[in-house]
Amino acid sequence: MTPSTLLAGAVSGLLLGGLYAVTALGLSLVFGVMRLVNVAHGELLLLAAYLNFVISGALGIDPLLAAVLLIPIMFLVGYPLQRWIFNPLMHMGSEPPLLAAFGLSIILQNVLLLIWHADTRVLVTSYSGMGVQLFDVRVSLLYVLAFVMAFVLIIGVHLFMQHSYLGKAIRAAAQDASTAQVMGINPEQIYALTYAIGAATAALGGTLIGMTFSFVPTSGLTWLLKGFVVVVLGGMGSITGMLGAGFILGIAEGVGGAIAGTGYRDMIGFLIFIIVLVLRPAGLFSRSRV
Amino acid sequence: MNIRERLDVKSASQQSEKQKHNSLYWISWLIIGLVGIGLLFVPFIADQYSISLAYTFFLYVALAQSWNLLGGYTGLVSLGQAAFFGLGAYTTALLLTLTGLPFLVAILASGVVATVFAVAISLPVFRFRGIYFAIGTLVLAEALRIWMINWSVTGGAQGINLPLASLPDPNSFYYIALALAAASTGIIAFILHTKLGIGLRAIRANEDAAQNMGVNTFRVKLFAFAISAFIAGVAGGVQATYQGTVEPYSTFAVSWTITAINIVIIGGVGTLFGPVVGAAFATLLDQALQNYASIHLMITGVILILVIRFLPAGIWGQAHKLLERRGIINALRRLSHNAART
Repeated sequence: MTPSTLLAGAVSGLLLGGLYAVTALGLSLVFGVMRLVNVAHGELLLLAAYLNFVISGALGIDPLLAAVLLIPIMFLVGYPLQRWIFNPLMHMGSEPPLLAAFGLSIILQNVLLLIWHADTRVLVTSYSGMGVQLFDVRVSLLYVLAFVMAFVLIIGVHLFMQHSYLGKAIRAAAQDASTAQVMGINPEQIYALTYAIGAATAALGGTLIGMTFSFVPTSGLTWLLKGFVVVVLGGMGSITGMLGAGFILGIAEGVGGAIAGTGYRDMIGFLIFIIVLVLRPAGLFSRSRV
Repeated sequence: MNIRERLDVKSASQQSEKQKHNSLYWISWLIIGLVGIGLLFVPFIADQYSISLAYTFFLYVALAQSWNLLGGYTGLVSLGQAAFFGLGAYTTALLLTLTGLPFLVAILASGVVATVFAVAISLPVFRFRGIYFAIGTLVLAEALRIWMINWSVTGGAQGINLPLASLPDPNSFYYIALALAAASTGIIAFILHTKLGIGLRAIRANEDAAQNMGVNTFRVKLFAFAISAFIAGVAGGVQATYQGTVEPYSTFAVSWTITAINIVIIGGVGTLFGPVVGAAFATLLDQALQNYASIHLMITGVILILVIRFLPAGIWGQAHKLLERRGIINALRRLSHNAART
C-alpha cells in the first residue's frame, strides 16, 4: 500500500460516490415522503438494469440513451405498486408496509431470475474500457460519466422538489398529510406519484450500475444496503445531503478497500452506518426533510 | 349490598373466571401433550421422505418462534435472524471439526455463541427504534456474512464440511428437531406467563409508556433478544449438522430471516400457535412447489402481501377470532369447566 494507491482509491471512490447517491435517491424520496422503507428498491434498480439490457440490445443504442426511454417505463412500473400494494397498508403503521415491501422484493427478484436466469450481465459500450487522467490517477471514464450524471440528476430532483407544483405538493403531503388534504391535495395520489418518481430515478441508477459493475438478479440486497448507508448518512429524506453522503461512502470504501483488501470493502460502509446511527440517529447532514 | 359484600362477589366471580380459564388451559396442554406423544412414534410408521418433511417443519417452527418473540410479542422487527442462525451453524461446524465434543454440546454452544453476539450488539441496536431497528439488524447480518466470506479461519467462501463420523444418524434428526420446536414453543409459552412476558407486550404497545410505568425496557428487550438469538443459534447448529456443510452465502442468507417472517405473518403475528400453523403451511407449499424454485418464492411473496392486506391476524389469529366471535371459545371454556368440576 502506497500513498498513490490510497489516492487512487480516494479519487475513484469519490466518483463512485455520485453513483451511490443516485441509486439511493428513490429510497430516500419514498422514505422522506411516506416513511416507507422500500426494501424492494434494490430490485427496482436491477429491473431497470435488465430492461436497459433488453432495450439497448434490441435497438442497438447506447445504454445512456436507452435510460431516457427507461425513465417513463420505470415510472409506470412504480405507480401501480404504491397505488395497489402500499397505499392500502399506509394506515396500519410502519411495519406492515415494510414487510409488504419485503414480499415485493422477493417477487421481483424471482421474476428477474425467471426471465434472465442467474447469469452475470454487464451493459457494454464502446467506451467501457477507456480511462481518463485525474489528479495523477487514471480512472475509468465510466466513473467520471456516472459522477456527472449523478450530479445532474440529484440537482434536477432537488430543483423539481423545491420549485415545481408537484414537488411542492409532495413536500406538503410529506410534512402533514391531513392539512395537505384540506388544501386540495390527494395524499394517496401524491404517494403513488412519489413512488413512481422514485422508481424513475432507479432507471438511471440501474443503468449506471449495469455500466459500471456487473449484475445478477440477486444483487438487489447489496445495492439496497448501500442505499441505506447513504440515506442514513445523508439524513433520512434529505436529497442534497445524499450527495455528500455518497461521497463519504465512496471515499471510505475506496481508501478502506485499499488498506483492508477489496473483500472487506462492503463492510466498511456498514460500519459507518452503525456508527452514524448510534451517534446521530437523525443522520449526518440532516436539517430538513425532502 | 355494602362494599365488603360487593368486593366478595367481585372476587368470587374473578376466581371462577380464573378457574374456567385454568381448566381450559390444562385441557389444551393435555391435548398438546397427547399430540406430542403421538409425534414420538411417527418415525416408526412414516417413510424417509415424510420424516425429512417433518424435520423441515420443526426447524421452521423453531425459527418462526424465535422471530415471533421479537417481532410479534415485543414489536422489535428484526431482519437479522440469519446472523444468529448462521453463527449457530458455524459454531457447531467448527466445534465438530476441531474438537471431539459431542453433537448435543455443540448445538447448545451454538445457542450460547448466538446469545453472546446478541448481547454484544444490543447496545447499539437498541438505540434504533422501529424501522431503524429493522434496517440496523439487516445491515449487521449482512456485515457478518461478508466477514465470513473473507475470514480464512472459517474456510472463507468455501465454508466447512463437517466430519461425517461425528454426525448423528438421519432418523435422530427427527427427534432433535422435534425437541427444538417443542422447547422453543414451550419456552415462549412459559415466558408469556411471567413478568417478562407482560413487559414484552407493554413494550410492543408503547415503549415510552412502558418505561414510565417502571418496566426496565432495556433489560426486557435484552432478554427477548437473547432468547430469540439462542433459539435461532441452536436451530442453525442443528441445520448445519443435518446439511453436513456450512458456507457463508447460504448459511447466512437473508432467506432464513424471510422464511421466519413469512411463516409468522401467514400463521399469526404475536400468537403462540401462529408460527406452528404458518410452518405447516410453508412446509406444504415447499413440497407442492419443490420443482419450481423461483415460482415458489414468487408465490410466497404474493401470499405474504395478500395476508398482510386481507388477513392481518394470520390464519391462526383469524381462526381464533372467529371462534371467539361465535362464542365457541366460551362454550369450550364452559364445557371444560363443567368437565373439571364433575
